Amino acid sequence: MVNFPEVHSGLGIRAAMREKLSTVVGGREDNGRPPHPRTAALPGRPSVGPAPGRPRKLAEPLADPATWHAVDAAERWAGSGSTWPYAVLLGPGTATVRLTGPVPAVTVERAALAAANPVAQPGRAPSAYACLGSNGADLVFLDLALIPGVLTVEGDTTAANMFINGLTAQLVAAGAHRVASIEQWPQALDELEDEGAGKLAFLIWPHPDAETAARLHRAADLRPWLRIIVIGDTSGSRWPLTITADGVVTSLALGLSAATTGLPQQLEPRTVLPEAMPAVPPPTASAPALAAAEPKRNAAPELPPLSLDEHPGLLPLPPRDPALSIEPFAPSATPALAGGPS
Amino acid sequence: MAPQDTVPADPIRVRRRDPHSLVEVRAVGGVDAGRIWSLGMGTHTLGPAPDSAVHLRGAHAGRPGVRLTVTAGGEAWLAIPDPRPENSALPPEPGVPTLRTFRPMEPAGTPWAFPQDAATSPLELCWPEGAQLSIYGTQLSVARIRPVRSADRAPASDLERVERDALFERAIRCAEVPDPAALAADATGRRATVGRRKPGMDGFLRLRLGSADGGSRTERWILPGLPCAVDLADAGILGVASVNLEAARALARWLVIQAATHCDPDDLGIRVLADPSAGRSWEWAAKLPHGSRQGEAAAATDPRSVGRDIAGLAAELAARAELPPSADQPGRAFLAVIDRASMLREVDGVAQILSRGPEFGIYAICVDTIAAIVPECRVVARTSTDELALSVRQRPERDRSGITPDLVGTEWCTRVAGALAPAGSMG
Repeated sequence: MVNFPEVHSGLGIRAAMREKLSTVVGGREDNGRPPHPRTAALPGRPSVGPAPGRPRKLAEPLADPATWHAVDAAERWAGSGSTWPYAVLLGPGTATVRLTGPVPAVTVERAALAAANPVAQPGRAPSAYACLGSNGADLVFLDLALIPGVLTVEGDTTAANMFINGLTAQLVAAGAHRVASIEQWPQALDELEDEGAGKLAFLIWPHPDAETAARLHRAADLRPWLRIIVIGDTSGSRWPLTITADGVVTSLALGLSAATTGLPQQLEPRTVLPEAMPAVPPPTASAPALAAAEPKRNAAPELPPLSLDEHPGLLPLPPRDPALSIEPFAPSATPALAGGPS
Repeated sequence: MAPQDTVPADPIRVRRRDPHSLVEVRAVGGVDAGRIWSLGMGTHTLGPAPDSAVHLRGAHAGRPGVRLTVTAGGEAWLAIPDPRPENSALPPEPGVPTLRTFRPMEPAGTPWAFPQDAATSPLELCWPEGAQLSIYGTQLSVARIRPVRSADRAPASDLERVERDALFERAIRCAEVPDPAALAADATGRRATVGRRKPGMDGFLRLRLGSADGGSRTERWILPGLPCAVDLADAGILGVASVNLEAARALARWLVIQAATHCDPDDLGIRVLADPSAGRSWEWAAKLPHGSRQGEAAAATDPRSVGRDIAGLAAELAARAELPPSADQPGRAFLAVIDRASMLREVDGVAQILSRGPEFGIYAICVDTIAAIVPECRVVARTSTDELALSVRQRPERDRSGITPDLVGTEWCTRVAGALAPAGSMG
């Protein structure tokens, strides 16, 4: 076996290959070329889509039950046994669903979603969509239920606090999951575990030190119902968001960017869209509309309507537990916590 | 932290696959090879910190960690702090994370230069399949769990065609002698290659020692991390030597696990002969189903068992030497692993096994310090934790160096040996 001791980092390899191809693949050997330094271009970075542009006021659309119905319907429509939606870009006329894996995003007309009642996939945990902000005419929704334990928000601290306020306001208003602040930690952890029963618990933790961050990661690894939102950076696996002083949040990993300054800091408890909950399910009433709306899915299954049991995001707000739920997050300069996750 | 906040980790699948996993990071060589991490969309740290998503326990632990970002589409991007300005005329600096990928062959000595800002700031590098990341003494590769659809994979240019062909060639060459992670995944999973090598078959005891970059057979390209292997049936007696005896044992463990995985117990018997001080390095081998047909374990670390196994091998050698040659029907082969061979060589029967055993299908791996390697070794692998050099006695033109050794831990061996045990057909 021939060994080549020289080692390259991979920087600019593609550019170098392109240059080499012009002499090797094209059949022209450049054997007499004297050695000389060459500068290679860096490989391209993944895109997070277009710049979000001017922020929109989001209080009104986020208070509209039709917005959340469209997000849930689009997510359930796009998800199947092998596809996992993680984000919905909700425009005035369409909803684009981002999927994990090497598959393109899918787009559906909102008119079709309004008439549809797609059923939740069996065996899947309930989603926890929250609006990150706006990108042009679209509202950018991210399923926080899919956070791999920890979500970090790096960048401008003030903007990050406002952004997390906006996220927690939506989670509290939805009422489908629990939101806890560090003031209840760690006593609340056992209660959350006991009373959660299929619900996720979101724990907000600003600026943990390295040791606490490591404990948070271990706590999340061991508790599949726990999601931790952190201001600052951590080690381990996480969804990373970066926010600028003007409130633009981006994530290379998620391929998303959004203007967050229009996020409301408080929301009324979410109400249920009446027309989305027929008392008696009509027989496959919505299937033709969906099939027509999505030509890529020729074999679209017949989609029974939503029911209350299958759609916790549209349920009326459950009674609030003062020990575990908080008002929209208010950062504390001195976290009232000595220990960590137990 | 409460005691319940720790969970025992699988020594192979350190992070298990779930529906949201998009890529697998595999330790394909170097220290603690054979581990697999399944990762989903997000950012993950690779390094020596205990809370790293990919926890690496090898050398140069003082270096900062590397960040791996997995995009929604399953692409892997690396952010390497403080990258070294690349120049092929310089040897790699120990401990600097280095990504080695497909690259064109260059005239020797041609320096490479990169923009100044690229050399002094953290960078995000695409980590394609087939490329190897050297970090903290471990070689890592990445693979998508969900393959790209064929329509998306069709090459659109000469460059992409070359990349695709290089990836394909490398995959075939690596599959011939799988790396520790691939072998462990197979042994504990689908078991497609377990026990398929038969005596007399070409490559019956071809065992991978490590990996090195090498040339493509069809294009003027360098392929990273090609396997370096030795055919024990050809070498007869293989010496595995190191100043650090534990490094030599880690490599020898890997050779034994390969032989046990590739060969059915009916086709290969394994005997590990070691003194009690090496017991912890070899006690896992007792799980292998390749012991004697009377049910005795494949590993012996107490003097009485060692003496019994040496006598057994010597008797087997004598019996085979008395039989007429039967080239058509090779019988059950034997692999003897002799830890501290220079000491055990003084025991009656060992010298005969080493000198005449290969002739009759009894092969040996002799583990020792470099200074004490026994003269019967026709091929000697001198290894450290970073580099392995191979020397072939009386054929120096076949000597090789610059190989990254495959070093596996005892927990990993225990797990793989346990997976092999049910497949045993001990009679």
